[in-house]
Amino acid sequence: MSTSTVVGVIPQDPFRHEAMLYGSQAEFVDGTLDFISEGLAADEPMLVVLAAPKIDLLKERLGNQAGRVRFADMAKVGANPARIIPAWREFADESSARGGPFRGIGEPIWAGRSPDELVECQRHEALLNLAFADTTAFRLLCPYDTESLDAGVLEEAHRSHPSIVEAARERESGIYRDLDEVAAPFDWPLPEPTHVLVQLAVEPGNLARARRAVVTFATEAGLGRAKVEDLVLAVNEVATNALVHGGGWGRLRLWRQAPALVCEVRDGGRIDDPLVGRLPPPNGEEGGRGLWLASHLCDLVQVRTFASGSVVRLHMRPE
Amino acid sequence: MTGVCQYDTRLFPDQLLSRLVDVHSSKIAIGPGATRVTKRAAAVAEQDAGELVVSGEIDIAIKDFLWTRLEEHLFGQADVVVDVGGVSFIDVSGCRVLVRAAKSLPEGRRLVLTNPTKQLVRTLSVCGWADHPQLVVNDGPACGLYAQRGCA
Repeated sequence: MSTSTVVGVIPQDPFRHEAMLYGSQAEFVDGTLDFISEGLAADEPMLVVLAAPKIDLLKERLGNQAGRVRFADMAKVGANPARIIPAWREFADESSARGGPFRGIGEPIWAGRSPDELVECQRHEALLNLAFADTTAFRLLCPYDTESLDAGVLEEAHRSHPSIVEAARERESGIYRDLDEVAAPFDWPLPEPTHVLVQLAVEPGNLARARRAVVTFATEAGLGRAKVEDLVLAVNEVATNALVHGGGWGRLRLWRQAPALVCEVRDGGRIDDPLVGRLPPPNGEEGGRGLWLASHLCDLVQVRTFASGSVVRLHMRPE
Repeated sequence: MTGVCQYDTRLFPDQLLSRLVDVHSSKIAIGPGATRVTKRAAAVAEQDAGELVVSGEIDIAIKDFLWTRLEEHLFGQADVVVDVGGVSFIDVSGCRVLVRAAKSLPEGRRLVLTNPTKQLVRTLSVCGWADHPQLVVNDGPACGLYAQRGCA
């Protein structure tokens, strides 16, 4: 007697990006534990990225099953929301290679986010749909606290998630934004600074001057040496982009915007890749590493393309 | 605009050279550096392939010059040792030159960076360039960017 195995093509689910609305700690725990238990039953790889106290809460409830779930602190992974997609990408690549479905929980938005961070977090949530459009069998659940978040934030969650889970019920979002709109150049307005401390032109051959201006500015503002070095490198890369891709000129402006220092480079170019700075660099030596590096070095990166050109703002907070 | 000024170290006294270096943003020194450096290089390379000492600030304005000088040292038989301890700043375009030089060496030969700053090591790593078998990074002291003079 012989046996033969027929391997068929199993249709895979597309990427599922769900917002879970919760109004209390009990609802949060119930909703996330249901999601995790489902994953455990199917032996799926799982990554849960939340604030540390919430991780402790879930670990306690999961007991001896907690070891089967990977946890990461959102305060570290997602302090700069531009670094969250790379973390999911790494997990997705690893899990896809293993075969079979996998799932995650990520809560990048909480009430304590600054207005600038909030906009970037919302942009991140929208970009997830684009970044994982071709990834199959990946379910990502994003908890939103309806008690502490504004109505506007919850509305935006409906735009960035095709499905909404509330009180264990799933429904389709009626206002989900389509991918073409997400892929268009991001032109969300940036507030004009009230008091620019340093302003200078970025021209070929004068990057050293720009670097020195950043060193002086950041040191006087109380940034530690390591952070000064990181900020200088990030500004240098963005200014280099202006010279190489942005029409050959740029304008550097520096100011303080509590709690951070902001370095802004404007140029005449367009940034067309919506995922710029969020995809790991290719293997070769070609360009395209400037914003990737800046996102790793800075506390917040804002990228915009307007009719007049593009703007990159780099934020760094003194420790 | 980038101007490169070359000085023959055999013709000028040290004191004058150091004043000349001070008025430039970067310095690239070719040939046997200080004796200490040459000895360390000899320990890595079996044959004297010439020591390259790079210092100052390496950015997009200086990268082509760096490549030209590196290229001259790629034809020997031994590993190419580049002492980057005096580099106070290096950007992605400068790191790319180092990687390109390492990759253009024939199999079996390596580009060895000595005394890199922590930031250089990290830039290579974040850019995905840290794991090339022909690029060897010998961790040196944590002497940072724009560090004060005397930080060894």
